[in-house]
Amino acid sequence: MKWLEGKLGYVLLAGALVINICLQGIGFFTADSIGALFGSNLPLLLAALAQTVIMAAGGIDISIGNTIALANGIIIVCLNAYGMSFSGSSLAAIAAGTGVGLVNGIIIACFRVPPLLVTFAMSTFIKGLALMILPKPGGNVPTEVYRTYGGTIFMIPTALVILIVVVVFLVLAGRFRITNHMTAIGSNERNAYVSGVRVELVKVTAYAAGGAIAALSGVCLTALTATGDVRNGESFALQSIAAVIIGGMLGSGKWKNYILGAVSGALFLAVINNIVFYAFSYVSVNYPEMQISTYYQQLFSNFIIIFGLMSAALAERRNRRRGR
Amino acid sequence: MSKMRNKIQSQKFILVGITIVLLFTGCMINGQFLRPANVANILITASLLGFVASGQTLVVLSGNDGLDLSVGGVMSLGAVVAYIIMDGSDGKLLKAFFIVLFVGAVVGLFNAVGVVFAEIPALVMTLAVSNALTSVQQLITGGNPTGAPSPAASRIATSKVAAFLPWLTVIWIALTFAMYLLLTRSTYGKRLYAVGSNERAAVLSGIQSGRIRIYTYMICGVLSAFAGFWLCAYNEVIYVNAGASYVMPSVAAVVIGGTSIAGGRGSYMGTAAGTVILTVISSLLVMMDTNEAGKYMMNGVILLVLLVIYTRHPKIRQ
Repeated sequence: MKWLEGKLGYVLLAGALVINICLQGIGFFTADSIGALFGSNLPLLLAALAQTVIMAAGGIDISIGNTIALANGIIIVCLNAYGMSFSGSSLAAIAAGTGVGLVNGIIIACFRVPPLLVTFAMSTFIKGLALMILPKPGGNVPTEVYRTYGGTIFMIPTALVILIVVVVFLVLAGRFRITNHMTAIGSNERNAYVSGVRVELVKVTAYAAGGAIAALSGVCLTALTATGDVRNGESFALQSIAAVIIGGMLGSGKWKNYILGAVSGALFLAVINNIVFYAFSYVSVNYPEMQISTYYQQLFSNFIIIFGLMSAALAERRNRRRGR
Repeated sequence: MSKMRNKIQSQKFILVGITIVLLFTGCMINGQFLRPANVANILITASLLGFVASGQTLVVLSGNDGLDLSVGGVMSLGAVVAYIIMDGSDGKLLKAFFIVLFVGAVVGLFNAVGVVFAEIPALVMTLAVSNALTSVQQLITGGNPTGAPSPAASRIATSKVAAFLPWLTVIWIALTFAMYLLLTRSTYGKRLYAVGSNERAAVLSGIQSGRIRIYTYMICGVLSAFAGFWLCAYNEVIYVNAGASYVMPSVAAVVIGGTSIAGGRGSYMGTAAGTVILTVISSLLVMMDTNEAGKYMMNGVILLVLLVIYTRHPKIRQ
């Protein structure tokens, strides 16, 4: 079982995929089904990538959920109230996300306040800001935007293309010096400082990059939902952290493992939602006399997240006990 | 040591100073601010927050990045359960009360299992549990709770001893005294501080730190559920996640109160002062007709400023 160590995220994902394929049958492999899986979960995948960049540098960001919501609100307002193009408003949203990350990073790195509390407070502030920008849900995006997002490029679902581009870019970014410095800080801040890493600068960069990726996730969320609602971003915060932990790569100290771990953890959560959905629709189609409330679905996925977290944390602890 | 004591002393003066300035500002903006009825309203809200913040204080004191974000979920669940069980009859008051506290203890134990045994970061575990509790509430109520608090309970929650002193605040003062005794005079309190300030030293001197942590999360659950019970009694009408708005202020109150977020240092008196300050601020904001967005932004900015003042780590090279 030694080869399994540190690969719990992949194992969980593979198990979940097998169950999903069993439930859904051969229909799982159609382009539509895979496109829908990636399309509806791309915001979560990108949120997990944003979180993993920050967690690689030893931080944590709870404000990611509301940054996504803020990006959503900014795009909708830019499109509908100021008549900007979609790409222009997306750039504005990404700039805003980077700004949020910069503020987070500066307060955390330069004033040395615990990241948890800073991003918690920022999260509240951003929620207010997003509500001020877009007080009521509504607005719309051009038809071609969500058509393109839900469609395919060269037979490959657009969402999958975006994901691959981002992941390849992030993995290649592992060759930069600054990502090495991030993982060094994540492993041991003091040692990194003593070896001459400019801790403040690197941390601020990590949070700014995380904020930018989170805003990109907000762009995808806008293209997916085709409307603006700043109240439903908060759940991304927990899910992104959970995805990184379930990915099980936090102890590895390798940049590439962080990225791939986050992707597999987020995909695990996505597939679990798929499974729960298919399981419940299977029951309601075949046993119509059983009345199952949809609330059971949510409760069920919540508990699976908790158990995923527990198994990942337990596996990591076992590795640590062995002196790894 | 004396330097630290000086710091805590001066912090107390700062807190009292802030409160006085805030009250004065309130009077300047609106002469009605210090009317007995308004003071009583502020105190009732502060008492509910104080119940929640007491549990939060214990969890933060236990150290190891302890933080309980499920307090809002437990509070809402407690309120919903009390609402359904009491169903407007006095006979079921005690039954409801104890079931609510039991539910709180069970959720606290569940949190503790994740945090202590599986070593999931407290923040992540309690946030996940908080989400699960929302679904649990929707499940038992079908999304729309039906019931009513018992008349006796709501009489206690809404009536006043004197024009400006509600009964809830009397309960809060009693709780503050109990917390003081628990933290300074009991074995549990001493051990909690020991575990929070240096877990390894505590373990080496024979304290079962895991057990202390489990107790702490359970007590926090019970206290949050207690707050939920009174929320139900005070509000008459309860909806799903009625307590969600108490999570962020409960953390803020602990931080303002000078409890170290790293654990092992701080007191409930500070938290109580923080609670009063936060409630006065939010009632000022209500008085100035701030909308929801403005309130969130103000809360965020206030917490950020306080964090920068209070929770700075020493420089790395020190």
